[in-house]
Amino acid sequence: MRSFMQTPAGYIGSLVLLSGAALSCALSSAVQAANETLTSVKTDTTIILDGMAESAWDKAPELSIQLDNLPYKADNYGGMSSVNVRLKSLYDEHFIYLLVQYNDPTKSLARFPWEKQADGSWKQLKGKDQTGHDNVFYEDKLALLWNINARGFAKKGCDVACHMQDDSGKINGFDQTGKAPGRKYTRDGETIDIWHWKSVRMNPLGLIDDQYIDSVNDPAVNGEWGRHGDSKTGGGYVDNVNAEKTGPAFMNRTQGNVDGYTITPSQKTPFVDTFREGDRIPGIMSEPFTGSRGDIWAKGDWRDGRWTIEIKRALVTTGENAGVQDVQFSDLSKAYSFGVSVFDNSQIDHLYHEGAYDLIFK
Amino acid sequence: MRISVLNVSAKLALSGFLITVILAALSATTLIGLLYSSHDRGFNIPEMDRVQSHYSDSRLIAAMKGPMYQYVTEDGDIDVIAKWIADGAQDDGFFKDEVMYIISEDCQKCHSRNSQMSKAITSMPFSSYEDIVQYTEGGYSWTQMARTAHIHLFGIAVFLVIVSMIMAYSSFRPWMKSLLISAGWIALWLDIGSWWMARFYSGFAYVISVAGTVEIVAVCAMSGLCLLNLWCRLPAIVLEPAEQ
Repeated sequence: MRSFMQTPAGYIGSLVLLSGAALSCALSSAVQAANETLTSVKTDTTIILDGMAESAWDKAPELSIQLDNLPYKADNYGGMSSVNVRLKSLYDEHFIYLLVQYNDPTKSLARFPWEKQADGSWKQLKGKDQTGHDNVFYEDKLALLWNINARGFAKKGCDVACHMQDDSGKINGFDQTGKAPGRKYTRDGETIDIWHWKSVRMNPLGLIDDQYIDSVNDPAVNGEWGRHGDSKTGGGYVDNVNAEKTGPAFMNRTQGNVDGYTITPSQKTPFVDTFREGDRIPGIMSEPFTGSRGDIWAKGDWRDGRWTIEIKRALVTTGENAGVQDVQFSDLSKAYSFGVSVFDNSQIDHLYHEGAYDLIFK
Repeated sequence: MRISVLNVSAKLALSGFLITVILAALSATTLIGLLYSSHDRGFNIPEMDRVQSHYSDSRLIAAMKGPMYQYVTEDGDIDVIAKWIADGAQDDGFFKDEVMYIISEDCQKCHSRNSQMSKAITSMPFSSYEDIVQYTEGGYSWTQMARTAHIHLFGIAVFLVIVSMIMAYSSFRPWMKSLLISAGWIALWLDIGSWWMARFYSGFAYVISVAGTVEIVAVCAMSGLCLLNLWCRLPAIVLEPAEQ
């Protein structure tokens, strides 16, 4: 060997081999860095949903996902153009827990608030874009989409349900010009579970809006096309507007709470106008969903430019239509495909990633 | 005249160039690895069927098997469109019912004139038969081939002649210099020439792969050896007799 390396060919060959080995190490490191799996780790610790990452989360490996795509260019969008979402997961005998963290320099909660004007009237603040959706007076949101049985989801992720306007402004033959840049629906018989965390409408109640996507692709059947809320027995959110639609119908019992851009049942008080110019009243009222739509608990907290959201759901849900509308983590040896999107003070424009990620249980 | 006797400034100038060439070669390798490899994220070894598809199949199929593969819902979708092309790519019922359905699901979100998605390609719409049929010709079109080939030939020749000349004035044995210099140029001609030939016989994709590898290795080897010659004391066995 030594004598071979002392020949010209051996010398060059050795250099090439060494260079190749170094390159291989560098490349294999790069490949290993491309983490595509979120591993849920078993825990015996009680997870408190408060938007604070307690020490129990330290044992869970982190999955980092870069979101840097937007589905359309809203003419008044002032949110982030990319964001890195960090995920962790734990599970116990009955529940799965998720910790979601991402940086967002603005805590956006002022969703369609009423504001008192100089002349004493009330105006509901809105900032709609060219599609009729708001990007100014809205709320921060997060969506996790879980594949139930959609063809291609494991490869393409949420994209399989995304349908954008064609050259003539139509989606599935229906004119959507000025209505929506895109709609979500699946192929026949396919469903995707949506865990839609909403910082104003649901976060004060400690819940996620549990939704799903199916194959409805006709606005006459459902105004939201394939997107539906899960079956519910009560609760929800309604606009806070009086019969004349000139001002709010109710107000918070306690004023001065800057985070209080929705009115929860315990706060709900008939509106009495003792306010000054510039004062705001929530434009929405929220009650906890009951039934399948309210079977995911979550609490988010924005601190120092970062959202931290803790989520809890039963591994297997049993509510009405749970078998169709919910992903069921019934086989812990399986991988469950999912996607993530972040809505930065935007009604529908959202940051998303391409492809799908897998959740596995360890 | 040998590069090893140059002053420090000249050695620094040549070293900067040679290191840049190596980095460029590695970047090219990475690009090839990403374009012709995995269906997953990250760098992987290029797959031959993707290389063959790139040079032999229509641009539509080559894209669906290659850089656009991640947007294809299932492999069967590619087979459907390949069948349509093989049958003459007609504006018929099969096109309207089967092909356009796949195109609308997998391509049109970005490939439409009004798309505002982050990766929109509005200049290449796939909205109608006329839009799509122009990408169904097998292999690179002659125009596309000529455009790509002349850019590569001119571009590679410029830095290859400089690397070759630096190698020629190194202290290595003459046969080593001749071997590496010849390998670089011959591999370049074989590589680009096979792009054209693969249009007629997909087996030339193997020549493209081998010649491309030789080209990269020769360029990196010449650059690396010249860097050694500039700054290190070389063992006598690799030096030409007059330098020993």
